[in-house]
Amino acid sequence: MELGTGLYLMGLAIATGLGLPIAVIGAALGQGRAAAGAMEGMARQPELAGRIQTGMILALAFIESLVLFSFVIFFLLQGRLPTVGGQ
Amino acid sequence: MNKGLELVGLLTQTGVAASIPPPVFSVFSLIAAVALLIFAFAATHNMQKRPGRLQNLAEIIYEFFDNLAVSLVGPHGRKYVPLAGTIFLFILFSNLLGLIPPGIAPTASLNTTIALALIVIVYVQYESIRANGIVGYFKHFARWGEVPVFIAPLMFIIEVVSELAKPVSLSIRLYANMFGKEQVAMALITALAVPLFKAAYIPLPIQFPVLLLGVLVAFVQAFVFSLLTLIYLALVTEHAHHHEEHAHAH
Repeated sequence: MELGTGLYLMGLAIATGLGLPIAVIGAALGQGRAAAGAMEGMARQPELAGRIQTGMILALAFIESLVLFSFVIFFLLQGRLPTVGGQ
Repeated sequence: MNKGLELVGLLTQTGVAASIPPPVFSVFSLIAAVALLIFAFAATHNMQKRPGRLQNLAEIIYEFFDNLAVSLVGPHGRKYVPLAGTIFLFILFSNLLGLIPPGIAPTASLNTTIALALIVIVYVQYESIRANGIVGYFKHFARWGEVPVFIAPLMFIIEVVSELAKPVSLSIRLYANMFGKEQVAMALITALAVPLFKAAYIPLPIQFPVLLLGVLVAFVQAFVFSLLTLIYLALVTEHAHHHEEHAHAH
């Protein structure tokens, strides 16, 4: 195998393996903050719990969709990796 | 023998969304739609003052969306309840189809979700033109009167791009959630199967926790889709109705 091809495949494999976890780390921190804020709000004003919960679900969905974009990219990249061995 | 196992795997597991041809998803979304029709008919064909079980369920769902629409969009939001409720129920039925063994969620295909997102976005544009007029529709894009005049062209471009991004994010969110659930289930099924059992699929329900999570995801994603529908409608109609209500007050 040529050096260029090898480097390309190495970069592809690293990107496939690390891209999604990095996105998940960011989104997990963001979702944690969003949920924590919502819980605090609910504890302070239980009468607004319903509206806060709707807003929280919406915020979580927006944060989550960013991870899902990288998830779609993960599948695009994964399809480009060659299979190795007898599988 | 392996062929047979593979067939069993195909029929009993849902995590094969990538290799299934699009017409299968169409058939399953038709099944979801027919199931929805049967549910709607059974719940409402013989309505009573004291509701039975099904009618009660339907009333709970309707009242939930009625409250949501009124609190998000305002008093005129009541006419969007049928759209939001239908979208919620259709997506919910579709998602749950993926959890019944021979079925697959139609929403795990990008074709279905793009169709749903286009319905919502085109309807939002239609409602925006109807509420603001054709001039007001473009003024809304430019944030006319909210920003200095020389920033308005820039705002127009930004708003058009963000409007075009809406159907993309709406469809990919739903698709990736359902597709991801099925892929994770599939990965769990096949991960140990080859080294331990020399088979393509493992004969143990080790994907069960993922399916439990799938029930939660099915409800949350259906809710998020219809919630976003209502919010997009609220964003484009709030100005016009705000002015109208002021005019009535004076």
